[in-house]
Amino acid sequence: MGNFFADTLLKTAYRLDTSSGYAATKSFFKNLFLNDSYRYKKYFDYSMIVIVFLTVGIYLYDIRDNAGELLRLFEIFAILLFSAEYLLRFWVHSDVHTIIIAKLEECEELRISPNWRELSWIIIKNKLSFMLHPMSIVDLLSIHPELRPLRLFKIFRYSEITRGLFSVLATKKYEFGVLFIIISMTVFIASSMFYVFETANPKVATYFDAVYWAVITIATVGYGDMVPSTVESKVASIFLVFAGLGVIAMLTSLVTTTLGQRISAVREQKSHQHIGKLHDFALVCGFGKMGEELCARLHDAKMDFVVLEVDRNRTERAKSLGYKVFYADASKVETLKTLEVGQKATSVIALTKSDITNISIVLAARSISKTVKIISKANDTKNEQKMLFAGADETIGLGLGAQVLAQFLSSPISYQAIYELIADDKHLLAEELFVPTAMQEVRMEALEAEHFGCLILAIVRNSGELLFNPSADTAILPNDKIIAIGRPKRIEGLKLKLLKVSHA
Amino acid sequence: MRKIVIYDYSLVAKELLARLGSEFGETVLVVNDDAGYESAARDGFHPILMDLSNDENLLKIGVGASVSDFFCVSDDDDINLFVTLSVRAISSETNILARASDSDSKKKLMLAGANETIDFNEIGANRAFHLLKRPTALNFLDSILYKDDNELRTHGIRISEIKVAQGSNVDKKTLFELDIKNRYNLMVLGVLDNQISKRFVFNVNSFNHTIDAGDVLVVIGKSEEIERFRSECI
Repeated sequence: MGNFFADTLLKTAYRLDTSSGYAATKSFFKNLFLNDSYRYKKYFDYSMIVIVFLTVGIYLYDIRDNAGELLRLFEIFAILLFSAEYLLRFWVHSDVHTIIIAKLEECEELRISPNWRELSWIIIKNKLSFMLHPMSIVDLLSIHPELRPLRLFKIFRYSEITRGLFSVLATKKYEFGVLFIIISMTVFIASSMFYVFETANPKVATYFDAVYWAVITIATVGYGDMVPSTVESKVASIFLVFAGLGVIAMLTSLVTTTLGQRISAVREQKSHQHIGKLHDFALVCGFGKMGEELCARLHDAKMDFVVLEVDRNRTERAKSLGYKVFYADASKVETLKTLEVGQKATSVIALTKSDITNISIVLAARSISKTVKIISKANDTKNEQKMLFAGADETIGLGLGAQVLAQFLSSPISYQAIYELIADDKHLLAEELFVPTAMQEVRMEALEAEHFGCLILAIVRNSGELLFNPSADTAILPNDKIIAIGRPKRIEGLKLKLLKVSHA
Repeated sequence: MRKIVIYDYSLVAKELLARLGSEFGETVLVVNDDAGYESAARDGFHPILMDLSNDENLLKIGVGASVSDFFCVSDDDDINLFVTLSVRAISSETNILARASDSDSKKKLMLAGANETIDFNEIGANRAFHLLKRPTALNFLDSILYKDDNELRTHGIRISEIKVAQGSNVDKKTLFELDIKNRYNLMVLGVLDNQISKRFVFNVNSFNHTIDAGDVLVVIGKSEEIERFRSECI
């Protein structure tokens, strides 16, 4: 009997484990609830916030005026939605079937009959950890229509900012704990004195009244609905006021310093999440003059990039320009790994002023990924070979600048022409057009490049062979690159034309 | 015969000297201090030790007379600025090329009278950008500009400037009539029209230009075909 049960359970667990539909559904809800970098999470969060406000609003309206049938229907919808949300959260919190599989497989291997009590306890403990979480308790309670105001607390769950704030304050748990104890002691002492010495006062009926008085006084609010009437309780008030001043000052300063210290960390965390959304970006290491120039160009071209810099002033400067920047050492393998070099960061550009650092960045990047494109600045020409040896695809050295200078001397007009082509992407540019992989064969004349006002200099075949000055009947093959010169808008037109003829 | 002065020994000057050779004429390296003199001498050059912020010294090396081109490539922007200004004050003819380290000093140098400024940070950034965005096109431009070896098999395609002489076969003809593309297998990148402006005009947007004597055509193609076309222009 037990065996049959174990078999069926294991089979069901296996079926769940291998079912792609089950896994996909579960991961969808998991992302929706918990993954901040998931695209649709923010839409979910925003709609939930709106619904929470609406239901609370309806509740407040309903207290004095009659809300009407339609709004009550909305409340029912909200209750169903919140219940479903609670159950789904309960579901995605952990995978019961993997626990079952792990346990039962272990038992099978050891050839012992499963300990059902232990197994159920593990599962219950697992799910209890969800149910006992303060946020889950709020979720559960707030489903009830009479406890609707509680729903406002749910907003903390949906708002990234408030969650960030709480996580920041949580880092000073110990300090807040100590402060809480001090405040409680002060309130306890003062309210006890007040309670004892104000027995004749009809307004102080219970001990809670005394605590209420102490808190109102310590917070410097002082409504004045209860005032000390005896000398003894006046002494207690004086004690409370002075103690309160100190305690409140401590609390204020603790909160402000914590926020001040940690808010940048939260911001950093936030840009980490932003990077999660980028899929193909350049990693610019070093925000010196060249780094800044490069970033400006990438920014203009709407290409994604992330800056790494170890100088605080420069990180601030990059931040003020609106770039995504990390205060981190790019030569550390760990740093590059967290930025997913090779997968999401498809290129690494080392532009620090030290060649030793640049080589170290090149090595670190190459050690993580064989395919990532690495460009390194060589401050001294003699280091270029070393960089290439370390795995850089391209180096940028002073030789290049000297070459340009020499070029200017030998053929100033060509220099001017080519410079104009590479200076910016606004007026005129030399662009390469990718021919789609799946395309039917067409000839050059089909492009009508003259009509677009573009000059086609060459076609580069996939093999690397270059066909200069292609004639009208030259065939354009899949995966070719076409090098064309023209105004940006015209080049765009030519690109569209290329797509059109290749799919005709 | 040109006389080229390179002022101050820096890494750039070293690269530049290595590239210039004696192809263009006489090159003179002038250094500012003993340290520069020593390192230049160590690298096998024959520098002249002279402070060029002094006008007398500028005249002594021939600025305003035999010097045709002047390179200010010191690592210090202020020195480049000062020397550029001094050279321009003496001679309005000299071709001055100055090194700038950012767009600010670039503007200042142009105001001081430099013919061209070169900002290595900008060049490097541009290059890195094109390497990311359009590596093949950059490779192609590289291969036609510099005679360095390249991963593209370009079969000796170069860029060249051809000046049109009075009464030559191409004088007073339009680019359309000449049909250079098919007859010579050359691409005309554009024209520097000496009559209209000193600006370079690209051969795009159905550009059709009547070629006059004195125009400079910039063409891309194989050397032998360029030479064939050049002979038509004389």
